[in-house]
Amino acid sequence: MTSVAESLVPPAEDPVLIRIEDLRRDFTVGSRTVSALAGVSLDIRRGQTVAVVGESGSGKTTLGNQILGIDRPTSGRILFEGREITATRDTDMRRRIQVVQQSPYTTLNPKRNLRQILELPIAIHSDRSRRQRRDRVAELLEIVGVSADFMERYPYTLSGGQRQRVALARALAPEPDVIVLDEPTSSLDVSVQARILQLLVELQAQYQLTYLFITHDLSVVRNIADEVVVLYRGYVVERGATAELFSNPLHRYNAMLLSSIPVVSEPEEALKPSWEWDGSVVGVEPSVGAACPFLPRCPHAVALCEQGVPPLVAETPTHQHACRNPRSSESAHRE
Amino acid sequence: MNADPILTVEDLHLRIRQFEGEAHILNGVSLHLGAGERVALVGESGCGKSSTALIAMGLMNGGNMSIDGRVTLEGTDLLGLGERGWRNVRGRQISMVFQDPGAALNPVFTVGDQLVTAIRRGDPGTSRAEAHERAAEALRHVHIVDAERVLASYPFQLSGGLNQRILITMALVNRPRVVVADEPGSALDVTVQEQTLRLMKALTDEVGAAVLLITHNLGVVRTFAQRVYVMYSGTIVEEAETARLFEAPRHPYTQALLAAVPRLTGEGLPQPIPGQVPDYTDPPVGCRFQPRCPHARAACGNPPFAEPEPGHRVRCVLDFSG
Ligand SMILES: Nc1ncnc2c1ncn2[C@@H]1O[C@H](COP(=O)(O)OP(=O)(O)OP(=O)(O)O)[C@@H](O)[C@H]1O
Ligand SMILES: Nc1ncnc2c1ncn2[C@@H]1O[C@H](COP(=O)(O)OP(=O)(O)OP(=O)(O)O)[C@@H](O)[C@H]1O
Ligand code: SF4
Ligand SMILES: [Mg+2]
Ligand SMILES: [Mg+2]
Repeated sequence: MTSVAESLVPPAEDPVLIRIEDLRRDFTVGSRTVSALAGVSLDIRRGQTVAVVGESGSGKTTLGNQILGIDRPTSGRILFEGREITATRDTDMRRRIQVVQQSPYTTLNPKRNLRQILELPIAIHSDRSRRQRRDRVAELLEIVGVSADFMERYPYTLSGGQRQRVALARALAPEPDVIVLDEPTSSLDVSVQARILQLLVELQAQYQLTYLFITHDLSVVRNIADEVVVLYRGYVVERGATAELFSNPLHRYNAMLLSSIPVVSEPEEALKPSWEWDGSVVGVEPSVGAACPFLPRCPHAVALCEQGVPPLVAETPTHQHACRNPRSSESAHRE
Repeated sequence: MNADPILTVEDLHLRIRQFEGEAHILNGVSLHLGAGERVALVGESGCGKSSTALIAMGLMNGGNMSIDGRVTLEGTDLLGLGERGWRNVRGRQISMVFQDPGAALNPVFTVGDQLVTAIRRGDPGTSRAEAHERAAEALRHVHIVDAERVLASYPFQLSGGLNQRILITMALVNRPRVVVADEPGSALDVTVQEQTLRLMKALTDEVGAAVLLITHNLGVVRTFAQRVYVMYSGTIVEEAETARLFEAPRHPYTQALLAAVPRLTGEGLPQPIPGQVPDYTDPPVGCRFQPRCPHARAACGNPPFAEPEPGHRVRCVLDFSG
């Protein structure tokens, strides 16, 4: 079942840091059960940036939460350097995976100043003296480009970009291997976003960080990710090396996603696949798991699409998709 | 091309008295919309885009604010309207679409109640039954097949994309002359945003409404608008037809804004603009972009809004078009 779910990049290169095997997370609300993750398999290699994209509710944050260990899967396994961490993690394991969330307005405790915010993770994960902790706070602030003079300030006195820097400093404090970045720049202006992206890339190089970059901004993904995972209603529908996934979208949902990106120049426009915005689609939703999850919105559905969830198949060693009538084989299926 | 502007904003100033002093937020904003024209107002966060829109909607009226200048809709002076006068204008001749459909729709009323009320406000002679029929018709028109079910639903029971469709329908149901759309659909996914903009284009075309689109997303501007105003720190710094603005931006701010956008062509990380939007209680004198401008020099002073080529205007003493 996990045949093609393994590594995208041929072995020998960076070793696998995190392996996710057939992860499922069901939420039951009242009498309804939603599979936020419906069997996700994925390898994350050390030092890479893996982007997770998909519309709201597709399961991106849920996936991040499983990796962080702040939520448990219904079934499936998570391995870190080959060691299973699905159910339990020790303090050192928790130290190694950190998070930066979307809204800098709500993720920093408004009642604590920057020193208190940053001292907490330092105190938990090391036994430095008070003096050493304070020095480390100053150092962390410098690393993310905030003046150490701001140490006694409260989050509300900072701009959105500065807050996001502090959130990044907090994630760096325990010297992690992996940072889950959940929409780290979505609430920021393009200009501030550009600065945070630069900082992320610098920090990654300096500290050999591995990023799980959750976002719905595909133009950002194009420029920062090594690999992209496209989620649709809890399923991985396409996955591949960044350039390949953008230049040759195979799954119809990925094509729709790419064709929606607002761009600012002709050369970019030319890279977008076309999409039938007025194409006719099936109105009635098939029952969960019985068909391609994208079927109700897909103008390219063929009879086969209704026969179970399409499995991931490899197009190239670094590109997989789960579409029964993929974009490249359009002519073959039409006649 | 726009011989007869439908909405005109002239030399608009907004001052807000605050604890730190008086903030001079809008500093002589002038813009106009031709009948049926789609115009964008773009700029970084805090540049005054929403303030301009809210004044045009008569929704900016704190006791600590003073507003000067002129805003006219088909010749009617809007700044002089009282709350009574606004009732005949807002939602009928000029309406607004907000960023977050979840927040803009009232959560405790059904979609049907809200649409029916909007229709009867625009056309007080309509009976509830007639209004209900018109509401259902309007929803079917925007490709919502099960209109009756949607009318009976509360906003939280519907997806964000569907709510956005409803908001746009509501804004257009009385066939207004002008629609002000503040970041429509940007709280949603790209696919929904794209659908939202397409729908807005089709519907406003159909009723002949002009649109003032407010956004900081330059990509959205490029596909939607025919003409663009670039706003920086409470002033319009550039105005051009959309294609011209993207081909040959003249103001250093517009150029910097474009360079900050990540590109689908994958040419690497975008360039940030150094510094930040200045504090309005103590803005730089003269060109407000000067402290952040890579070309700033002593000669900058207080540049006029020049028109180096027909329809392309720029507030900068230097010419960077080459
Ligand atoms: N604690 C929870 N209880 C019930 N349902 C949940 C819970 N957390 C997530 N879900 C559901 O799981 C699905 C995936 O949610 P998730 O937050 O992972 O999506 P997302 O891709 O991060 O979306 P967004 O882009 O809006 O952040 C959604 O249908 C959501 O409603
Ligand atoms: N009611 C108010 N009281 C005090 N200051 C205000 C008020 N409304 C707006 N401002 C200030 O006016 C400036 C312009 O705000 P405005 O909301 O118009 O910007 P914007 O361009 O719409 O930004 P964004 O893209 O973030 O929506 C900001 O500095 C803001 O803090
Ligand atoms: S499998 Fe079928 S329904 Fe699903 S995206 Fe491909 S063509 Fe469309
Ligand atoms: Mg999320
Ligand atoms: Mg605004």
